[in-house]
Amino acid sequence: MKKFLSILLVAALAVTALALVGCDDPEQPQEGYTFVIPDGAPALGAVSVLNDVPDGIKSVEIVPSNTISQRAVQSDIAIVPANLAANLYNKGQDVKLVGTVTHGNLFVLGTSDSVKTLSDLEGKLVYSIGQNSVPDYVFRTLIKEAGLDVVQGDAAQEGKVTVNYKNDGSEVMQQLVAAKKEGKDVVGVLAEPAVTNAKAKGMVELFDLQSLWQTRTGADATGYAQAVLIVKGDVAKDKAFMDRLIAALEGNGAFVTEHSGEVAGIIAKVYPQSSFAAQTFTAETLERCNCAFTTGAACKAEFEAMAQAIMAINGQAIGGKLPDAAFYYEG
Amino acid sequence: MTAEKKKVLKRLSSALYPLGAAAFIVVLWAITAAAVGEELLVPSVGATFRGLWQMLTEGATYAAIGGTIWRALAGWALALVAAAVFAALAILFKPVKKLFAPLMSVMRSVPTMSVIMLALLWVTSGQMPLIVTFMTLFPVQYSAMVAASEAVDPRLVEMAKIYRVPTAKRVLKMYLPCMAPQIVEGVRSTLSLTLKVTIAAEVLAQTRDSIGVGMMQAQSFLQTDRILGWTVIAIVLGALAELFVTFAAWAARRLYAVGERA
Repeated sequence: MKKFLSILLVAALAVTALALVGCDDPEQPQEGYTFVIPDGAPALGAVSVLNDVPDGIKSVEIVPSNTISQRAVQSDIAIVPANLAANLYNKGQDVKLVGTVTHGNLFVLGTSDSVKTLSDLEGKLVYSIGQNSVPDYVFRTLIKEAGLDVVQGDAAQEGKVTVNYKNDGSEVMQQLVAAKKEGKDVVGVLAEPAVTNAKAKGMVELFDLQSLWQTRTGADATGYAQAVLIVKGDVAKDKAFMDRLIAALEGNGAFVTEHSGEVAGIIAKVYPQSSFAAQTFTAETLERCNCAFTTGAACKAEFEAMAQAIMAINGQAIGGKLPDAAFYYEG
Repeated sequence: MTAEKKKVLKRLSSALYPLGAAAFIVVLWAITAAAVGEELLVPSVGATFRGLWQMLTEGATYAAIGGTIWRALAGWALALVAAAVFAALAILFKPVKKLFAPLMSVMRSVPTMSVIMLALLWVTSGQMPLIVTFMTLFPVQYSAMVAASEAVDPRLVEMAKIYRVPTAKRVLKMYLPCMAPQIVEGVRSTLSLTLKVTIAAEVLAQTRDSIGVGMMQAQSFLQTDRILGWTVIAIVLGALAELFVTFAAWAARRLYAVGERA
């Protein structure tokens, strides 16, 4: 009897495991591609698509940003951080980079205005979002090139820039507010739209990382490749669809500024638990989110500059090498 | 078949059970990996152990393991000492026990996540896992100790009271020996819980030099084989810790027995 029971249990386990494997198969009969977008600033880069879904897309989903790597693997079209795009390609995924949807929304804020230049960050404690992602690499690249050493820790160290990573903007804000109350001079790296809120709470904007990056690369446009659009190889071959998708995204920059009041609502309609759900953005704030779509040569140059900067800090973030020419979509 | 032979066979077959369980897991894993067919989502058994091997050649891995062991042990030991002190007070003085009862049940039902969220605000990322581990384990260990004391023969307790046996002697000669087996069992079962809680807290606090951040980094670098590699490391650490406590308990029993005879 016992033996029978244990065999039954093992069989039940095996069936459960197989069922779990099987349940990912989409059952929607409609034709079309799947599109996933991480919650947060990257979603601002595709509001025009969320508002008016182009033909050929069967589902658009906004997902929590920490699940985007897995979801991007399973979807036909995805918006992902620049490092993840290169990493997916280098790990053998059949993906192509179509364009950049957001060009950076990062700002350095302080509890006081004592920091005037990047070198003044020496000996300071910096709370930052985005460990091992674009914000981290942009900030560290700029700090390194200003001749400063970056260490990770809980307390400021003499002669170094000490970075303390937090999970999101609100955690950074909590630390800044607490430090300001105690009269401590600390710094935070935050992304719009959180920057606007932080300034309303008395924090001082010290640096615009987008313009510092532009000075560094000497590019025509401000910013860098932060969130990018990737598609699977067979989607890239569907020329008619690609043109529709690109046209829809190219309208995003203007759409977001013109309909600034509706942006949060459009995102919340797709994803009610979005971090943006209960907010209203002004046109100025959205402009600072840099969500104009670029594709082609400009996008490639911008992306390569980012990939090289990441490579210099930690190659593993992009799969150990710079992506080759086949990675870039040519319209 | 002789009795001797039967015994050997029995020993052998009892060793086969854990091996069989391990084989079952590996087979299930291999089937899943093959069915999914995507190394980035479910890496194969081979890829995972290659990843693990690679990790073991890197210094950062040992820094992370060391950091996590230190935080887990510190949180666990602090909770154990505090639980021992509070349990001793509760066992010796009944009103104290009644006073603690509601406090402990509150502590036990506080979700780990809310402790984590609050600790994120109040302490540094280095201290956070330690505090969260302490907060989770303290009520568990306290209850285990108090429950163990209830297993002490009430007639023995009565006798000690009537004959006014000094407290120190009551604790050392009556409570401790009677409670020891249950306490050791309780302590051992909290070890793997400790490791789980510590690692979860490390992920949320992004603690430098930790298994939690190692896993997190592996996730952001699409190194699923390494997430599983870290998991294997954590399982091995948990097993080693339990083995160590079992051994320590065995050694203590022998020493105690030797002491008794002397």
